Parts: sequence; C-alpha cells; structure tokens
Amino acid sequence: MVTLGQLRTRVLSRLGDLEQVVWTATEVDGHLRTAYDAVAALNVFFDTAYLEDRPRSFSYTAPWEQKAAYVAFDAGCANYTASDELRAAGDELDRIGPANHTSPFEATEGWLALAGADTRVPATSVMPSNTVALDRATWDSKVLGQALPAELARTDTSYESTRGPVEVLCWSGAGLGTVRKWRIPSGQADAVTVDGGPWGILRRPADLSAAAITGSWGICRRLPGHHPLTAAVGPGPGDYFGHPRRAILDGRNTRVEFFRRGRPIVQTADVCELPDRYAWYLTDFALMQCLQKAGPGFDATLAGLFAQRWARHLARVQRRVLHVSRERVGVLGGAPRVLGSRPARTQLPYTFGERLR
Amino acid sequence: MTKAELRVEVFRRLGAADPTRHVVWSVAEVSTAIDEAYAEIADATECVERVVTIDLLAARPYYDLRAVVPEPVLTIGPAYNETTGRWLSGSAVRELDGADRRWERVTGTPVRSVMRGLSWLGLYPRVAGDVGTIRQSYTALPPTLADDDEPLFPSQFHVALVEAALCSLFADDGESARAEAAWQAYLAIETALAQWVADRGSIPRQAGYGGPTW
Repeated sequence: MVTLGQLRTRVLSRLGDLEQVVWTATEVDGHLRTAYDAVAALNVFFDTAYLEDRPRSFSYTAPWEQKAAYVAFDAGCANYTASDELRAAGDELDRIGPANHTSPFEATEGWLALAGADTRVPATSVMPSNTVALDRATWDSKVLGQALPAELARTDTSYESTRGPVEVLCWSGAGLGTVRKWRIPSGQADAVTVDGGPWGILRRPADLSAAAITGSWGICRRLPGHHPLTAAVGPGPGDYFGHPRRAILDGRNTRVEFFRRGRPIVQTADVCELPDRYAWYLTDFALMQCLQKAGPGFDATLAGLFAQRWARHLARVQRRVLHVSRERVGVLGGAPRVLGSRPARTQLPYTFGERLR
Repeated sequence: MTKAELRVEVFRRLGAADPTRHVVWSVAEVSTAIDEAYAEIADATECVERVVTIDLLAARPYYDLRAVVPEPVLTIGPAYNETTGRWLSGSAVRELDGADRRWERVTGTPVRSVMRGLSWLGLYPRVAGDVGTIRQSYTALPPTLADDDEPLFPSQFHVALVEAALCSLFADDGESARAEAAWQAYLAIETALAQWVADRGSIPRQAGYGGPTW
C-alpha cells in the first residue's frame, strides 16, 4: 500500500529537495494526481454499479452538499418533488429532480404506493461521478445495446416516453453524466424482502441466498452471483472491510460496468489504489514535470529520461489491460471449439465499445 | 552475480570501490537502487512466471486477482480447469455478448476466461456451486533479493541491474549525461532479455537435402 505521502517523499528525495526550497509538496502532489488520472484513463479500474430501476429518491438538495462531505447517506440530489413544480418557482434550469422519497425502502416496501405518490421509474439515471468510460450495461442480466438519440428516434418516435423492457442505453443528449434507458422501465427492479424492519444488519442469509453458510457466526462476506466487495485498499487479501447495506438484485434492474478513476489521494495518508508497482510509476511523471520547470532545478536531459520512463510505463499498463490470451484449443479428431456457431439472434445493433458520432 | 557482487560492481563503477570511500552513496542506497532495477527489468520483460490454484465459487461474477493470488500479478496467462482437464480459452467479453446476450446466467463448467481491467478475472460459464479449481498461470514481480541471492534470469543479463542502478544513482546526483548513458546501456540489455524470454521455446529451422524441416 503506497500512500500519497510516500510518493511525495520519494519525488522530493530524488530531487534532493526535501526542504521544499525549489518544489513544494502541493506542486508535487498535483503532478502525482495528474499521473494517477492518466493511468486511470487507460481503463485500469473496473467496477460495477446499478442505475436502479426505482422511483427517484434524494437525500440532499444541492450538489455542493455532497462535494463538501455533508452527505452521510447519498440517496441522490433533488430540489423539487413533483413535475408541476418544474416551472412553478424559480428558474427551470436550476431544478434537479423530481424525487419524492428520501430512502430506498420507501419505494421497495410499498410506502410510496400507500401514500399515493408517483411510483414510476424515471427514464434517466446519472452515471457515477468518477466514471472514465462506460464499458457495458445489462438489464435483467441481458446485455444492452447503445444508440444515439437520432437512432432511437428512428426506431421509436416516442422513445422518451415508451415503457417496457430496457433494450438500449443512450448516453447522449440528456446531460454530460446522464444516461437514458430505452425503453423506460415499466416497473421496479426485483428487491429483497426485508423482514423485521428497514434497518439493521443481515441476520438470516437465507433471505438472500440458499447457498450453504460457512461457520456459525460472523457477517455476510459474499453472496453468490454478486460482485465481490471492492477492496478498500489493495492489493492483497484481508483488505476487504465493511458490511453490505443493501443487496441489489439483477432482476429487472440496470447494471453498468464501467471504468473509473482511482480512489482520491488528497491527504498524505491516502492510499493509492494502484498496485504498489504501478503506484511508483507516478513518481516518474512528477519528476519529469518538476525537472521541466524553469528555474533553479531545470534539467532537460533528466526530464527527458523520466519522460521516457513514464511513456514506457503507460504503454506497459495499456498493453496489460488490453491483453487477451487467445489460446487455440483443439482435441484429437475434433475441431477447435468455437463459441457462437449458431446464427446470431435478431437484435438491435450492438455497438458497445465503438465511438459513435 | 549475487546482490552483494552487484553492489560491489556498482560501487566500482561509481569510483568508490574501497568501502572507506562510500561517502556520497551508502550501501543501503545502492541496495535500494539494485532492488528497484530488479523490479523494473522483471516488470518490463515479465520473466517471472508462476502458477496458482484458484478455488471456484458459486456464481461468482469476477475473481479479484489481488485477493486470490498471493502476490501482485502483472499479466495472466493460460488457465487450466483441473476438474475437466481442459485449458480455458481467453476471450473478450464482447465475444460472449455477441453470442448470447444473457451469458451471465449460464452456469456450468468454465471453458473461457475474460479479464476486466487490471485485476478482475471472469469465467464462462460460471460454476453453480463451490466446487472445482483452476490453475491460473501469470507473471509476477520477483521477491526482493537478499545479499547472497542471484536474479532469476540468466547471468549474462545480470549486468542490466548494474546499469539501471547507476542510472538511478546518477539521476539522483544530477549527473544527467551519465544517467542517460547508463539508461541507454540498460535498455539494450533489457531488450536482449525480453527477446530471450520470448524466444525460449523456439528452435531454429533446419533444412537439409531431402531432409525434414523442423
């Protein structure tokens, strides 16, 4: 586990400027974070998230609350609760929402319906803010296609209001971080029935899975079919912590698989999410930038050397991310197995991974 | 050459062969430079190859290599299903999506493997229960050398560690030209080692009058 402080100390030590006479810690940290984002842009951090097919909820009313770390429970942001408020008060462009409940259980346990509130699932969802690239999406475990608004309009002129099973995800035309589902989910996603109240910890694993339980005590560490808990810091075993708060099911739900930025390195003790070997790569970029700075420490030759090293590191990481071992497998007297020898099913054009303009 | 011998060579090249002249560079600093050089050449050439057994878990979408492999993984290689006695085919997730849009729900005996990002290994189909193992090959970084350890690659390439260590030490000392020269010398040896690693399994083509070709 390599911390920002260790990276910074390595850079300043190699520059011979631990007293920060020529280069400051702030400056070095900035270069390290730039390098960190450059590596993240190579699609190294794979993650999954759910754009849940549920009525929109909210737990804060302005984006600054989340940025200032005032939000302990993030159930979304909204500042109006019903569609007729959109233009009723204030500037329509400032409206975020609508949303009508502040915790998911109100939707999953039928409280919204009981109150006569709108239980329709919205057409759009917001991608996680640390998204680098969307890789793949599924609905009800079925992979979704991708389309531009114009293509959707050719397929269905009422694409903004048609409800039904989701077939396509459209990430264009609804906001920089907003994706549109076509069709709009007609109902809520499958949910776990919580017995005994809306809070607490998982007590009976049978509520979620029929898999055999290991041991006779402890907390739920994994659920068959669910993405493992992401390591808080890595690499290495034993770094997983925490307890799942909500089990989100794939049934009639939209899941996105995406690449994201690494966990932020802001404080000195923050751990870089890259494997240790790759974390040290960041120091070469910082050294390159520091040595290119005009002033007492300028050294073009050394800066060029570290630039070479940095370019090698990036190429190496990119090669490893794209590496797929294509091993030909054959058996005596038989033809090599080929997946998908049957005719393709009729389906919408599948163009995930291709840039559409 | 052992690490101790490599260190002696580095000091000799620094003009400080006599231990009483270890004024600018300490033994610890040179040792650290050698360790970093060893990691760099192993990272670049992927010469350290290993195999690990991974237990298969029911319906597990992806296996975190940071948890199931006891050391950092550089690149994964072929995987062998110990239950069926067959090798898994490496695939891209696009291939699976193109063949069956609901491939994630298929359970059975794994025949293909996919990689997502740097650390997540997926299998298709997914096993239905906690049964079975696969033997996954991968490349890794070598363990840190002790003073009497030798690098794992052939001895004719050991001098690369000297050159890389010199590059690092000269760079720290602001000796730009000498650092650049040492770096270029290191790159040449690294390229040769990478070529040796890649060509290990090949044999030269031989032809004779009326004879078979290899």
